[in-house]
Amino acid sequence: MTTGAEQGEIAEVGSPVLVPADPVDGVAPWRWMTTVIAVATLFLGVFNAHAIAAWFDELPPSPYTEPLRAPIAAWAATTARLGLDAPRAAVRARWEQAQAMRFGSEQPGEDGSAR
Amino acid sequence: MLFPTLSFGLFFLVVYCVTWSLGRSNEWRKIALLLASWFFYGAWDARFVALLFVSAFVNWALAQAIVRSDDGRRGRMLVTLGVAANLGVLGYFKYAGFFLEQLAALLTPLGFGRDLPLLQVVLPVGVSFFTFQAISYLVDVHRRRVPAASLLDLTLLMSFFPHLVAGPIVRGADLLPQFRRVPRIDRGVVAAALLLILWGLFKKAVIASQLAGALVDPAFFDPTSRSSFDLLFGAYGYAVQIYCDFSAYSDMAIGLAALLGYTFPRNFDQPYRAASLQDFWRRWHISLSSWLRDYLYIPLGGSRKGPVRTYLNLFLTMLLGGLWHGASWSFVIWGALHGGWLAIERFWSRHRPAGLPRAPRCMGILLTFHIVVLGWIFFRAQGEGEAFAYLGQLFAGDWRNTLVTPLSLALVALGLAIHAVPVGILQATAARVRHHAAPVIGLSLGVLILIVDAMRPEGVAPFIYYQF
Repeated sequence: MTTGAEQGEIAEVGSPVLVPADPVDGVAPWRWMTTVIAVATLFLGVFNAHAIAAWFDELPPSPYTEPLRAPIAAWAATTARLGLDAPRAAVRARWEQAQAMRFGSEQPGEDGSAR
Repeated sequence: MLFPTLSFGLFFLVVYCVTWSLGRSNEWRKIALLLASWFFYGAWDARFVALLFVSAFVNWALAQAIVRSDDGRRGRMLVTLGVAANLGVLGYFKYAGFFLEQLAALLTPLGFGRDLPLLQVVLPVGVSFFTFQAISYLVDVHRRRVPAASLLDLTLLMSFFPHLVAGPIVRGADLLPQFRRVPRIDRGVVAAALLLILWGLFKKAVIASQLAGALVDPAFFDPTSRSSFDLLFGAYGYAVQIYCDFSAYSDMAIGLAALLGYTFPRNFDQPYRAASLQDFWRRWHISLSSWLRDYLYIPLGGSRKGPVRTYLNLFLTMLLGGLWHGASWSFVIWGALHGGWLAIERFWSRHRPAGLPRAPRCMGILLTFHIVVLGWIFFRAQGEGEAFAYLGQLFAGDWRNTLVTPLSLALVALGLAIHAVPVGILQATAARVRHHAAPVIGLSLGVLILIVDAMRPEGVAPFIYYQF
């Protein structure tokens, strides 16, 4: 009988979420976790509103989605007008530059020519 | 509903709020998680939610009967019936079409092939994972390793959405005791979970997706039109892509479960730093390799029946492990390669001349990595013919570059370099993160997700292991 089968895998190989204990662990952990998630969500709602609008545009029309379509598009337009989408656009532009870099004449999007 | 999408993000936020708002009512919490898991699964194909429930119900009833049976023979009969029923489900959905095709190929020369029905079966997502989970549960109940679970607990064990469609194969011994108590959370676990989710998002949305589109897919699409150089880096690229894709799913699954209060075991441990294939299988898809060890290799006799049976058992275990991935000869060859090399390693460890100096560890790592990459060519190719064509062109000796860009090369290098990162760095980082104020961590998390989102391609391809 192996360790894994007797006691489960966690006893044998551990888990990446098990961190050595610290007194801070027990300090309002649920409130801490929820605040982290809420702040990150709000941040993305403000600075990545374009992604929300793009995702919403791909949803099939339904009585539940249609009333939300205009407010979401308006929110994305407002954040864009205020320049809040600029950080994402700047990172995207740099990433596209990196994608466009070449050693020579390689063309990953086209058929090869070895034949 | 894929993990790195907004749809899943909203789904998870709702599940998070509902489950934690249920406070100390553990039963209602589990019911809410079960309903959420069925909704998640139903987003692919609602018909298979019934399959999931029926499978859980049958396994629950069999486990109850096994526990009540005083007679050892009756217990053995029941567990055999259960294993056969689970394998029957897997066999029908996954292999019926393949075996009928092979039978037709055999019978056609005799004039009977055309009488066989053509079977096109829709494969339920994650069927390989939840049937293996059910089999291990029945065997463990029969061997008194775990007590029989309630219907709710077993159904949730098999349906729990973080691991449902692509593992890890979380055993009853790990999750059932957690279901029996109200989950607790601490800052260390939360910090590690958030880091895992973020890291998984980066690996999947940036490394795996970029390599798939710019390097691996073009290399494997028509290998005969590519140079040897392209194909060599295409194979290395796939090694990085599949690691970043599959380990990303595991990381996110472990992180999401942790945010709901449940601990999953580790599923990957820097596999490309393995110095032997045996070592590789202790680091790659650990929940599958340990499942195969505990429920196939050891019952076959393991290493207890002499050297020849040991080699044969290793080979058979990996051959069946290959077939578990899919019904095709490519997966059989992949499994045979791994099983054969494991047997060779075992033979060498027993018969190595005493005076021979040991090779440096880095040689073992290099050799193991290339054996694994060779296997990945069969794993990724559309069929065995395409895999052999890939290998043929790989050794054609044309070393022009028509495919590898600086970004592809950098991502392959990054994907390999992360295997040299010190073990436990995630936990060490989590240990620091938990001391900071929540708004600071929330803002940092938001910024990092925004950066990852800016680098991801439009749309996200499904995880590679969804097909298994």
